[in-house]
Amino acid sequence: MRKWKIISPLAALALWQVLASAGVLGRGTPSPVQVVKGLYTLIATGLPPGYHLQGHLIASLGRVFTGFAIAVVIAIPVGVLMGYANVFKAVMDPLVEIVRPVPPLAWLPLAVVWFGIGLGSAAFIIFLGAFFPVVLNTISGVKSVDPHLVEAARTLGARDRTILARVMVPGALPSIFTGLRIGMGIAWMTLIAAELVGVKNGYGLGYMIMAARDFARNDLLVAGIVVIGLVGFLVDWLIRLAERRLLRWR
Amino acid sequence: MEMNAGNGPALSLRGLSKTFTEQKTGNALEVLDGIDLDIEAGTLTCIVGPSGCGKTTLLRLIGGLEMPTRGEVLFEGAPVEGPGPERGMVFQEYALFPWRTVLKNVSFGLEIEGMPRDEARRKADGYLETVGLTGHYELYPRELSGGMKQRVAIARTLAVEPRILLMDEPFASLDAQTRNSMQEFLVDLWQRTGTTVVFVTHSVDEAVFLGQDIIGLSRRPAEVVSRFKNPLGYPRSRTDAGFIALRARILEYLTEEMSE
Amino acid sequence: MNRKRTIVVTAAFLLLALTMGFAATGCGSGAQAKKVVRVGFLRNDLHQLAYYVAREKGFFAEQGLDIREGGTFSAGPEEMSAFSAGDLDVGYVGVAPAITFASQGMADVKVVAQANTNGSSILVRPGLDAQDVAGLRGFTVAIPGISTVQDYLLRTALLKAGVDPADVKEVVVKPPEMLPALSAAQVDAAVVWEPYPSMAAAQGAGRVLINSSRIWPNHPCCMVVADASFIQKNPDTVKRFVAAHVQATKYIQDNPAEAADMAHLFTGQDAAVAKSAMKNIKFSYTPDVKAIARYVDFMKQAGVVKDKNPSAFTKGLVDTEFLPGGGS
Repeated sequence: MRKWKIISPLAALALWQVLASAGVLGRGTPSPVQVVKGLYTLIATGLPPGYHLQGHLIASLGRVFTGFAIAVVIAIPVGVLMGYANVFKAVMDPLVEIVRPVPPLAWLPLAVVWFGIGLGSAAFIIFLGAFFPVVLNTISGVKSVDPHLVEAARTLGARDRTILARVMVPGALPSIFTGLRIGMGIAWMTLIAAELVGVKNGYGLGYMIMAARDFARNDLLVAGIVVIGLVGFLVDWLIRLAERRLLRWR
Repeated sequence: MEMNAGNGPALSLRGLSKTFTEQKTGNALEVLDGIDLDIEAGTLTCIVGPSGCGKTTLLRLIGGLEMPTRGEVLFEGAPVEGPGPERGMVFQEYALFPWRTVLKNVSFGLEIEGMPRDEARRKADGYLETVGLTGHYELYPRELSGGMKQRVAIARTLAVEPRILLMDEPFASLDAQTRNSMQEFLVDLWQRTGTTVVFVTHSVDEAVFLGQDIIGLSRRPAEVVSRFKNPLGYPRSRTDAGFIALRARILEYLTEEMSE
Repeated sequence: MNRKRTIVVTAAFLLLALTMGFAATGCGSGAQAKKVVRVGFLRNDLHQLAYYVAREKGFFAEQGLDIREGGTFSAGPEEMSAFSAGDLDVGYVGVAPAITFASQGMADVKVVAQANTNGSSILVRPGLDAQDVAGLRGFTVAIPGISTVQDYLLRTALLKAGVDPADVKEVVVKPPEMLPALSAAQVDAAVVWEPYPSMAAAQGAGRVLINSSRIWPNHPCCMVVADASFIQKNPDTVKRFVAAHVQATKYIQDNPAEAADMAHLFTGQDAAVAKSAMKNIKFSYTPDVKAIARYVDFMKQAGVVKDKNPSAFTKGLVDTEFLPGGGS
């Protein structure tokens, strides 16, 4: 089955190059060859010149992981409690349901006022993007834990705190991982968009593609997009890897 | 295993009644109506009755997973206020923690007590040996057969050294052969440990094979309608004439109950 | 019951479709069909005041033009992207982004008129001690976009002061975020167009280090550019647009006080800030081709312009035929 999976991407790539060589594509679309050359430029020369791809990569990853980590550290406990204690859920629900529909990027101007244009505002926006999927999936995971397991734990002497830590969290873990993957996907997208607005230290993948746009260099723009997509894919793959290891019992 | 030092019955139910209120309709469902029962320490008692008559509810009340609407449950003279390791429960659905290995399932209760990991591991080993499951420690529940799962569940409960073992149709989901061997295993275990056992089943055959006392419940709202003392000695044979006679008697009695 | 409902719903739907169809064709909206022009401009950029004046004083309407705002943009390169996509016919934009996109072949535009010269400043944050441009060495300066007029003004100023541009850290910050960033000392300096420098002074967010008119006197800044194919198909429309623009520019020159009041309406700044800002801007409509050529050379050195023949490129870029006098 594996070989068949490669066919459509390769075919699309070939078609793309053919169309580009024939001059059929609009002026905004570079050819695959140009994109590869652009990739090399991003690494060797840097965009803006002197700001290499590696630096942009580290800056973006740093921002997304910071915001994501904070989101997860808060969202999982909150989600577990909300799933477990109906009173807590009733109290928290309005807050969650009011804030959740607001797209994270809408907060950007406010975030900049509160945290400035550095890591703070980016991490805040990413936090908002990742928090809700993780919380909601954690709640659903907790609610899906077999009540018999909870009862069994109680008859073995477990109190509330133990139930939460040793039954709810492991039991909800499959759902939590779903939430993590969704949350990370949103976080990554939000990050790039937030970086388009501007970053303080001049490094960031979103910032880099904006520079490509400013220079009207669409070859570098598409190369940057390819990198962004690849990194997003890799990060998701890492989460899936962790999921496979931790959920071996399924 | 401690045995109750003869200060009255291990378990005492007085006028125990339970009514559930259906959440959506508000209808009242009277499940148990005035159960009076004493169970002595160290005995193996079976509770039989028609399906849905409330046997499980009764066991859950003793286990502290439900609270009585009227009446009381006294364990060793004190009222039951919630679940606890001294009244261990074994569920029909096994309720093993799927994310824990066999060994870690058994050591769960010990971990909660704060036992150091090595000691907990050793003790869990021991209980797995008691239920006849050695060498399966690193398997996950999904890799086990029904019979094996139930043994792990029993080992897990035994590990916290309960003074009474409450078993809710634990062998009902097993095939006939496994079921028979599990029954033999239980009798053997009980004889070795001397724990009080209360065993709920809807199989009269099983009750006669296992129980020293067999208590019959009526249909809902249930009350105790009969108490049979089983004179047969262990180990029992299902083809024995006395066994067959007793089973027929109980079956007839219960069938009468059902048709009323 | 079902049948009746179906008929009613269908009739309502048809009526709705018909109404929308009429609205789309603009049928019955007036005696004379006006020529539609899709226009772009920069948000809160006082250099482009002529556009607002022409719109509000009815100069566009007098010329028979129906102005559709194709978008407001936070900086030049964004607007040029819209040209690239064919979304704009005419736009008010900085000369540098226009040159960048034209030379990369990403947008085919011509400069048909000028909007202003001067009108930008280098600001520094309150705590910074720098007294001149050389004092920016080692600090972080915000620009509205890469390859914008402000970007080149900064580099020109640095080179004149003997500072290697690589010794200054440039970051892109959108103008609305520049003032908060300065106040919070997240950047040390910023180069930006009016009214932001005047706003900074009024709010105490920063002080003016140097005016762009002193970096490069009468440097070209915002231009009126038009899509080349639009010019080819609608030369008369472009002529009329430029005429309205010229009229507005003259109006601003002759009536600065009223223009300042109008500025206050469109940039959200109070009249005092607008007045002070306008003092730094020179509104003029004839592009200085030599000055633009200097820009092109500068950008060629920076590697942004790839053309082998920069002067030919500049000639091709500027089209003065629509100006009064038919170009000078």
